[in-house]
Amino acid sequence: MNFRQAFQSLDLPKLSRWGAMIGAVSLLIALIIFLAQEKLTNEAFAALVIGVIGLGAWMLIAPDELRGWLSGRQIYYGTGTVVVTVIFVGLVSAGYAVVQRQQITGDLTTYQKFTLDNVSIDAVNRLIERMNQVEQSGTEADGSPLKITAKIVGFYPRSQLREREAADIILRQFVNAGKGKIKVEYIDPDENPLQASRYGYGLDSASGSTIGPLFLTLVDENDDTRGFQPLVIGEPNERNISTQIVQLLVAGQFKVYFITGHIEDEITSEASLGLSKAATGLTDGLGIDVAELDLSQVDAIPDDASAIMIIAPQTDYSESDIAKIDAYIQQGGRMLIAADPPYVDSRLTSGGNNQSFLKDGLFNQYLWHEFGVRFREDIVSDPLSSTEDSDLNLVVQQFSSHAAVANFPNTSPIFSLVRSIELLEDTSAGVPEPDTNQGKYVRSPLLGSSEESFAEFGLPDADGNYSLTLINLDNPTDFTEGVDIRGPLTIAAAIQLPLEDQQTVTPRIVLVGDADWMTNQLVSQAANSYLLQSLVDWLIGSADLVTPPAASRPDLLPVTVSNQERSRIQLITLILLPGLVLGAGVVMWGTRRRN
Amino acid sequence: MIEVQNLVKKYGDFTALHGISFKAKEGEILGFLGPNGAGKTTTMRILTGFMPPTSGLAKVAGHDIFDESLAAREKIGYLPETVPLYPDMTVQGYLEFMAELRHVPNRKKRTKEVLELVGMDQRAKSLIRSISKGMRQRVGLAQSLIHNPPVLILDEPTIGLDPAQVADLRSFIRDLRTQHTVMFSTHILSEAEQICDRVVIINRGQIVAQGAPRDLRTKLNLGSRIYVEARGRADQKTLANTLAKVQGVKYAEPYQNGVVVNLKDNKDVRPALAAAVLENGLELLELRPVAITLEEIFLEVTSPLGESHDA
Amino acid sequence: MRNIWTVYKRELRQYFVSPIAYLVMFAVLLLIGLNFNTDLQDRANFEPADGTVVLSTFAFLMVFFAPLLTMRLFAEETREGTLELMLTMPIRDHELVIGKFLGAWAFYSIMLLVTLVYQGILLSLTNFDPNPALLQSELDLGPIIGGYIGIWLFSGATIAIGMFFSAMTENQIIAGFLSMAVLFILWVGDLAGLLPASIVSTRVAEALRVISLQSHYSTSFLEGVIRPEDVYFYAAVMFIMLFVTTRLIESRRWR
Repeated sequence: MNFRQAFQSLDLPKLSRWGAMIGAVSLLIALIIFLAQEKLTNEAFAALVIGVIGLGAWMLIAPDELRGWLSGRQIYYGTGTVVVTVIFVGLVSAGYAVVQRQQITGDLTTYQKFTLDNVSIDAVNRLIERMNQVEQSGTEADGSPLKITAKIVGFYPRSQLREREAADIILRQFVNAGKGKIKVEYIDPDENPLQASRYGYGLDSASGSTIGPLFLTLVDENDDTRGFQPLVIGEPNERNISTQIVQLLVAGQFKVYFITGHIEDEITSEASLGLSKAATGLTDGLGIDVAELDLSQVDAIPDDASAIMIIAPQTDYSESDIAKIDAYIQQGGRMLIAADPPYVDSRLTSGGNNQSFLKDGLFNQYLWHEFGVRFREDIVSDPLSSTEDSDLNLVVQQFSSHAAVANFPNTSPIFSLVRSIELLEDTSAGVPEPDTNQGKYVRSPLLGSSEESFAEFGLPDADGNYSLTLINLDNPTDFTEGVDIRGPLTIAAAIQLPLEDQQTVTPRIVLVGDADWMTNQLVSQAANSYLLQSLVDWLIGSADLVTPPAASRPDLLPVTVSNQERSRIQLITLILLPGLVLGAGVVMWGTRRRN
Repeated sequence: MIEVQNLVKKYGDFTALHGISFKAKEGEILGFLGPNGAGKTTTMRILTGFMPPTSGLAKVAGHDIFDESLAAREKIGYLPETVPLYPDMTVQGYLEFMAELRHVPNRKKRTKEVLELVGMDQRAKSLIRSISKGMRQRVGLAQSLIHNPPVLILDEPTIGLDPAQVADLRSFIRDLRTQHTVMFSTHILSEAEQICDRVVIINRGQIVAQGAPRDLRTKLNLGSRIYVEARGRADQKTLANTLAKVQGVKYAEPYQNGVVVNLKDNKDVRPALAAAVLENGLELLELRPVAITLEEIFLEVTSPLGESHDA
Repeated sequence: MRNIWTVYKRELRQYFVSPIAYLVMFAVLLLIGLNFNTDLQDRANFEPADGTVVLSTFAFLMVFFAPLLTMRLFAEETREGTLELMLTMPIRDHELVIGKFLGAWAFYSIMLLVTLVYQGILLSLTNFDPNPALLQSELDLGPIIGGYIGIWLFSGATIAIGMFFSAMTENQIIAGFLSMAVLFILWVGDLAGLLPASIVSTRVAEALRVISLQSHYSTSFLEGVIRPEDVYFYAAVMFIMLFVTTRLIESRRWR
C-alpha cells in the first residue's frame, strides 16, 4: 500500500471532526490559561494555535458539515454540538474568573462582621499615605522608583484550605480598602518551610500557642521585605489585622531612651530583674525603637527621643542630670519613672540600699517643685489586694478613667514592693505652694491600692526610730497610727498640661511606685505587659496617631432552653413534622389506590 | 397533506431509508406496510419531527418538518409503537396535560369529548397504571386526537390487542377519515386491505409498491396459498407432489401436518385440489386459504428459495 | 414560557403523588430534626443559637436524597416511551428540560421552606420577645438569610446535575447512583486537602475546592456573606448542566 492509498483509506471527514473537538478544547484551555495568568504565555499561545489548526482543518476538510451546522441542518450530530458545548462551558468558566476578581462581598451579619469599621478604614488609609511617603523618599536598588506594598501573608497547610477560604473573606476587605496597596499571599508552610521560619510561623514553645497563621509585612516590587521584620497578626479577624496595621504605622516613628548611670535596670539584661523582655515588647509589640542613654555622656537628651524611661534607679540624680531632664520636659518631652521603695531590696531577703527618691533627694524635690508630685519614702501594704506570698505583692485594685490606663482587660497588673506617690492634692487640696510651677500642671492618679491598704513608713527599731530596712519576710509590715498612712493610696500617676495650654508643647510624665512589674520576672504576668504598652502608648502619643481598633464585636449570648421547651421542640421536630409528611403521603397513596 | 420526497436516513454506516417518496391526500387513510425493520418507524419518526432526515424533503400540512418543525408538529397527532403514557397519572390528568402542551383551548371540554370518542369516559379518573392494555391503546389514541390534528400518524396501533379490540380499533380508524388524514403502519396486509384507501409497501428502506390495496396483489404478482390436510396411506411428500401437478399450482410443500399449495394466480383451484386428494384415495380433512402476511410475501419475493421456485 | 410552565406544573404535581417524594421528605425532616435537637442540647446555656446547623445538614442530605428525586426525571420518560412523544410535541427541547428542572427545584424549595419551622423555633427561643428589656440570646439572622439563599442555589445545582445523569441513562437506579457518586465527590471536594499530598497534589486540591459544591456555601453563605462568585458558580453549574442535558436530549433524535 503506497502513500496515496494510505491517504485515501483515511476517513478524513471523521478525522477532521476529531480535529474540531480537540481544537475547541484547546481554545478553551488557551482562554483559561490566559485568564489565570493575565498574559499570553507560551502555553496559552500553543493551545491557541492547536485550537485554530483543529477548527480550521475541520472547516477546510468538511465544509459541508460546517455549512450544515451553521444553517441549522447539521448532518452529523456531535462535532458542532461538542464545539458549542465546549465554548459555552469555557465562556461560563471564564465568567467565573472575572466575577471572582471583583472581590465583592455582601455582609448580612448582624454586627457586620465582614465589613471594615471606620477605625480600620482610617488605619488602612493612613497606611497607604505612609507607604506613598516612603515611596517618594527612596528608590529601588537599581534606581527605579520605589513601589511598596503591604502584604498580609497567611500560612495555611493544605489541610486547612477551608480555613484559608474563611480567612479570605475578611482579608479581601482589607485588600479592597487598600486600593492596590495591600495584597494577600497564602503560603503552605509544609511546602515552603523556609518562608515559614522566616516569618516565624509555628508553635511557640514558651506559650504552647501557634504563632500565626497571619503576618503583616512590607515588600517592594521584587517581593523583598528590605529587612522589615514581619508583624504577627494571629487569627484572621478585623481587630487583629487593624491592630497590626497601626503597629506598622508606628514602627520606626518612635524611639525611647532608657536612662542609665544610676544603677537602673538594664534593657540588655536577661536576668530576672533585667528589662530585656520589656524592651522586646516595645519593639515588637509597638514598633518602638529602644536605646540606652547615659546622661553624663551627653549634653542634652537627643531630639529623636519620644520618651525617656527611668526604671528602678538605686542612686539619686545629680543636678546636671536633672537640668538635662528639665530642659527636655520643658520642650514637650515625655518621661516614665518607675521606682522601687527606698532602702528595701527587691527580693526582701535583706535590707537593700535603694537611695532613689528619698524625701530630700534632688530628683524627688525637683518633681515636687516642678510638678507637685513625689514618691513617698514608704512601702505599700495591702492585705486585700495582695497575692498569697506577701501583703507587699499587690494586684492593682483601682483604675482611673485616664486615657493612659483606659480600656484595661479583665486581669490587673501585679506589682511587687510598691511605694506610694504623693500628689499636691493629697496635702494642700491642690493649692500650689508659692515659688513653684506646681500650678501649671494637672496631676491624675492612674492606679490605686485598696481601702484596706496603708503606707508603711517603717518598723520601730530598739531606739524607737522607724526604719524601712527592718522589714523583711520574717518581719511583716504593721500599721502604726500617726506614722503610717491609711489607704487607698496612689501608686501610679500621670502629669500633663491642662488642655488649654497644650497648643505649643505637651510634656507628659508618668510615675509608677514600682519597677519590678516591668522586669523579666513579672512583665509577662497578668496584665503587666498591657500596662507597659498602655502607659508608653499614652506617653509617646501613638494612641493619638491612630485610634486603636474598637473592641471586637459583641458576642451573642448563649441560648437558653428549658426542659419543657426542649421536650416541646422534640415533639414538633421529631414527631409532628415528619408525621405530618408521612400522613399526607399515606392519605395520597390511599386515595389514589382506590381509583 | 403528507408529502415525502427522496427521504434518506442513515444511522452511522447503516442506511435505513434509501430515498423514499410518497404522498397522502387530505381525508385519506394511508397504510404503511412493511416487515419489521423495513423503515416504517424511521419514516414516521421523521415525519413527526422526532428525528431529522439525513437528506430529502418531508412536508406535513404544508410545513417542512425540518425548517418549520414546530408548526408541522402542531398539525400532527402521533401514537408511537410503544404507547407513551405516564403510569402515575390519571387518564384525565394525562389528556389534560397533553392538551395543554398542544395549546388546546378549552381543555376540560375537549378532554371529555375525546374520552367519549374513544369510549373511555367511564375511566377518566383511573390511574393509567391500573387500566388494561386495550384501554391504554385507546388513551394513547385519545392523546393523538386531543388537538384535532389534520394529520394522524399511528405506528402499529393494533399490535398486541385481542381480536375484538383490533376490530374495534379498525372501525374507529375508518371513522376518522372524515376529518383527518391518517397514516398508519402495520405489517399485516389484510389489515391494510380492510381500511386503507392507499397502501405504501416498504422493504429494506425502499418502497416496493404503492397504490390501492386491491391492486396490490396483482402489482406484486403474488398468488394466494391454500393449506390442505388429508389422511391416508400417502405421506406428506407424496401428497405435495400430487398437488403440485394440479392446474394453476405453482408449487406445493409440506407444512405442519399437511401441505401448503402456492397458486400461480387468483383463480379458485379448491375443487381441483379436493378432487386430486380424493383421487389418490385419501380423506380430505381440511382445505382452507392461508392468510399471507406481508413478511411472507417479502420472503417470497426476495428470498433465493422463492426465486428458484419461480425459475 | 407557556410550555415551560406546562411541563413545570406536571413535574411538581408528580412529586406530590409519588410515594418516594413523601418518603424522602419524611427522612430528610426526621434526620434534620435529630441533628437539630442534638445541636440545641449541646448549645443550651453554653453557646449562642445557630440557625445554619439545619441548613448545613439539609445540604449534606441533599447529596444523597437529591438523586432519589431527580433520577426519574428523564429516565422514566425514556423507559415509558413518553420521551418520544414529548420530542414530537410542539415544544422545544430546552423548554422540556427547563420545565422539568424547575419542577424538581420547586419541590426542593418547598422542602427547604419547611425547614423554616426550625428557624421559627430558634427565634422563639431567642430575642423574638417584644420586650427588649429582657436580656436574651440573639439569633444572628445574617447567616440564616445568607444560608437559605446559598442552600437554595446549591440545591438547584445538585438537581441540575442529577437531571443530567437521569438524561444519560434510562435506568433510574444507575442514574441515581451515578449522580449520588458525582455529587458526593463534588461535595467532599472541599476537603480534598486533607488527603495526603501523594494522592492529591495541593494544586489539584485547590482546583477541586473551586469546583466543589460545598466550598461555595460553607465559607460564605453560611457565614452570612454573599459573594457574587458563589452565586455565579451555582448559576453556572445550573446553566451548564441544563445546556448539556438539552444537548443530551437532543442527541436522542440522532440515535
